[in-house]
Amino acid sequence: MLKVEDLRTRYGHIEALRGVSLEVKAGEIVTLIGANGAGKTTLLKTLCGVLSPATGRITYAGERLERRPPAQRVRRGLVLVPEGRMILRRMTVHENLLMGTYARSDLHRVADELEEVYTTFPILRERRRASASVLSGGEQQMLAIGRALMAKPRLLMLDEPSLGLAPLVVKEIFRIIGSLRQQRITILLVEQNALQALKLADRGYVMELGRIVMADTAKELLHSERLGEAYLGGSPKGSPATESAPAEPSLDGPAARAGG
Amino acid sequence: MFLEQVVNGIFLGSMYALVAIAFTLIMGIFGMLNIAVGEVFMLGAFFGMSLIMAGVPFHFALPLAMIGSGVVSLVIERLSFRPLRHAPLLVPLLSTIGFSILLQNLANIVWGTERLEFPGVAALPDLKLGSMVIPSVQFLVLGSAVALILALDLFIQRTRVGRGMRAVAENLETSSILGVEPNGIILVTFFVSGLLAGASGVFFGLTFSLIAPTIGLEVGLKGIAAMVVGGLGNMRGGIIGGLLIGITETLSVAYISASYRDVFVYSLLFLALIIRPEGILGTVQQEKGRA
Ligand SMILES: Nc1ncnc2c1ncn2[C@@H]1O[C@H](COP(=O)(O)OP(=O)(O)O)[C@@H](O)[C@H]1O
Ligand SMILES: [Mg+2]
Repeated sequence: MLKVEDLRTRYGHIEALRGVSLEVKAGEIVTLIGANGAGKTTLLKTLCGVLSPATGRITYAGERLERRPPAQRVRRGLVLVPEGRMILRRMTVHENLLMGTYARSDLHRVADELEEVYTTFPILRERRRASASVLSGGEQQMLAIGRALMAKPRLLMLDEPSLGLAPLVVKEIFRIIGSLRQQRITILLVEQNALQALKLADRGYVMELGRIVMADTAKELLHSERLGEAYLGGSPKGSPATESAPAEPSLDGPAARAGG
Repeated sequence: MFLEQVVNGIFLGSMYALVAIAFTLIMGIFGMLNIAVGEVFMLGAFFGMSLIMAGVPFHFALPLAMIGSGVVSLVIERLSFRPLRHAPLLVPLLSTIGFSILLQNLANIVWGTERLEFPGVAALPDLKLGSMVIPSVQFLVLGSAVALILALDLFIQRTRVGRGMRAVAENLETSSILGVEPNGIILVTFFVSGLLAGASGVFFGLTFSLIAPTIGLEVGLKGIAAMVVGGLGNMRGGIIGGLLIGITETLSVAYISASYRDVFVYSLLFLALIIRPEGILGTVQQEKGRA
């Protein structure tokens, strides 16, 4: 469904993506894990079109996307739930959901999705007239996901949906992401919460310093020793210490392999 | 007498409010001033004058003058903003100052530098409220201004494109992730800004009967002051700021001296900046955000 080949994206002279290749097949849940600053957000922003790659190919549903503006990608069902939720705080909950339909041309059928989203997230129905700024972090994440669902995604990309949320809320968010599979939505899930993400996913990629350094089934990755040390070890939530130091030694070998 | 002056101030203020909103719309999207809004206002007045003198009835002349002003506003976007989209904010600001001078000189060439008479459109009888006489023209002006502001509010609050405008103003990147095409929204915003400034120009001509290419600078500065007094980038603030400045101006003309009126108007601006740098409605907005 989505194929990314040798994608490179720069911020000025900093190369944040150094030739990323990955694939997501229809119906899969694929997770991309990696420490802070690895380039995960940059990849998703390049995929949704707010950043332009220097080189590389993005093929989605048989079509090259890298020069298409974001709106056209949304219209084709490639939808991002951005890092930090990016709720429109000056709008109501209901208006935020309507913004999710902005790119759609079948606006007469929006009512069905709205009902569906309100059924999935009853709290949003309760607060639909409230300003989005009064929502708690977990509610904001639900709103961000609900808003993306209003766009009728075929491939939903989520950027660290569990960031900064309480464990119970994280569990609920992961449950909802898992349930999207029944709606035949393909998922690319970016997480630092590697353990939970891998438990949910079919396959996973590990990213370090702008490169994919490991790719395998989620099951294999969960039992992989190297990954265990760097991302899953001792504390599954990933204590800050694991975010930089232990990741480094593993860089050379697999990075060379992935690059070759 | 006092009440009559306050009412006059409200009429004048409604024109300033329209100009303030015209500034505010673009401020909301770019976070910067389009100085040339004043000149769009001025051209609106001249378009209206030329149309009415050509025999076009007022109810057609007003929308046509507004559309003409909207188109001028689009030209400003195309020549003064679009090529400089990625330049530091000061650059497009300077370029709109240059554009203002250009437009004013263009008006000098087409209509001359002398004050010209704006044709009256007496249609309705004047209204008498006790001892107060309110000319029908003022009602026409206030009624149209209120209708325009309400229509704009409805457009921004209730329509898809209006939501897109608010989304772009709040966060450009988020809006494009959602599939809003910023270029389209920017064009709509400049056009609407031009419509309002142009309407205000026609109202100004009707009210004062004399127009000259210099009115753009004069009224433009007051529109900016109204926007700042009311709270930057906030439509309701622009309305309140416009009314306050209009009332201050008419009261100081009536009770002190016409030659000092600008002293009072700009003192109000400085006072507002000192007491409430965030504008009258600035905090209200913030509290709403936090609550
Ligand atoms: N707007 C930006 N300008 C310059 N550098 C950036 C910007 N955003 C991210 N970077 C850099 O790009 C790299 C990858 O960042 P990011 O994609 O946000 O990583 P992740 O999402 O994996 O934490 C980091 O080194 C970061 O400092
Ligand atoms: Mg990130």
